[in-house]
Amino acid sequence: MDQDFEVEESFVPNLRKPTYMIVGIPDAGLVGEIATEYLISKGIVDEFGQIYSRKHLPTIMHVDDGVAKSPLRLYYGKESNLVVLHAWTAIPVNSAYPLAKFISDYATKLEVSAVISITGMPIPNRLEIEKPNAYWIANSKELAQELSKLDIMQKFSQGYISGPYAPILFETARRKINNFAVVVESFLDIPDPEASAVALDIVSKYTGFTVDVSLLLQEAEEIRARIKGLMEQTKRELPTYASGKPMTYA
Amino acid sequence: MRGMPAYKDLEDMVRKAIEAEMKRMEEIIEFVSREVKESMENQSYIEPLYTEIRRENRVVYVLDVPYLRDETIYIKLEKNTLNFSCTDNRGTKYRLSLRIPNDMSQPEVKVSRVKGRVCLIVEGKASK
Repeated sequence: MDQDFEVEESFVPNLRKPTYMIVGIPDAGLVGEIATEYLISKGIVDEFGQIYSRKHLPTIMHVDDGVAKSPLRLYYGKESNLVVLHAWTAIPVNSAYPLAKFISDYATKLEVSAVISITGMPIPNRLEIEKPNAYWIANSKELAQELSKLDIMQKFSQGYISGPYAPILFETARRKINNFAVVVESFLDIPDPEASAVALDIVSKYTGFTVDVSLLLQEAEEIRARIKGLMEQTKRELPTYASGKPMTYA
Repeated sequence: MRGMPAYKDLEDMVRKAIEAEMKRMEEIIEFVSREVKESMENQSYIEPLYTEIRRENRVVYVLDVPYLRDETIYIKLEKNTLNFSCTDNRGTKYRLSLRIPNDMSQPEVKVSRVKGRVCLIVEGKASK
């Protein structure tokens, strides 16, 4: 295990095959963050671990029901058989590679079938489109072939991905772990729960565990009100990832 | 007495100096009061999240104000500054000042609500 990050587990999940690890880290539109927080808030996954790093995490603790906890935590759902890595704070750019390495190590330890990242793709006409389109980016040719057969999202053919999910694609590829990013059209710097709902719907269809996203859409306004501070923090962090370029762009 | 006018002039001079000083003090007090009032007003406002999309001769600002009370939206375009303020139904006051591009001639603002967000479209006159 990478010494840069330490994990403290309250129990070891009893995983069935296939196992999927979903990663939710704040970036464009907080698309991944809102998606994984929804799984947590609806009790689909329960907390089982905290990830610590004196070197790579900001000096922030997330206070949950009066208890200060690491802002980077692990969750598991017995029924869904999903493992979720959720960040309650923006991840500094210098921590992105070490965190990606940790995720690869931990996915190897849990023998997960695929790591699924959820992210947003900022588009200028986001307000004008009825339902945002979703794309996939795979970390290997084999996985790309598998994903090509699905009709739930399109291939992101050419372009760039920057931000916290980019090094995860790289590090998992080096370790021969399947990883793909679900990239949904979104706003850049205002929260986009509607894009998160699209992403969760896709994850639901891919993993076979049904997640009802209707409540997420109903609670969208409340989510946007609650998550404003994190969006402001993420907005300050995002330009450091790609010199002012958006997170994913064609 | 020949000395009196001189004394009177001095008295006038002192009185005028005192009046001028008092006027200056009143202006300072008024200025400080205005600054304090403005500062206190600003403290009770928060800035909404927003995103900016620039197109040719057009800037679109999308503002995220959850639970917005539509009737409280206030917009004023002054020179190259677009001032926005509103209140949500929880009583939170929002205020935002946006600098619009200098090269935009005779800009006009259109406001709409789209999917729960406030959309401010600032459009300049097309150059001939």
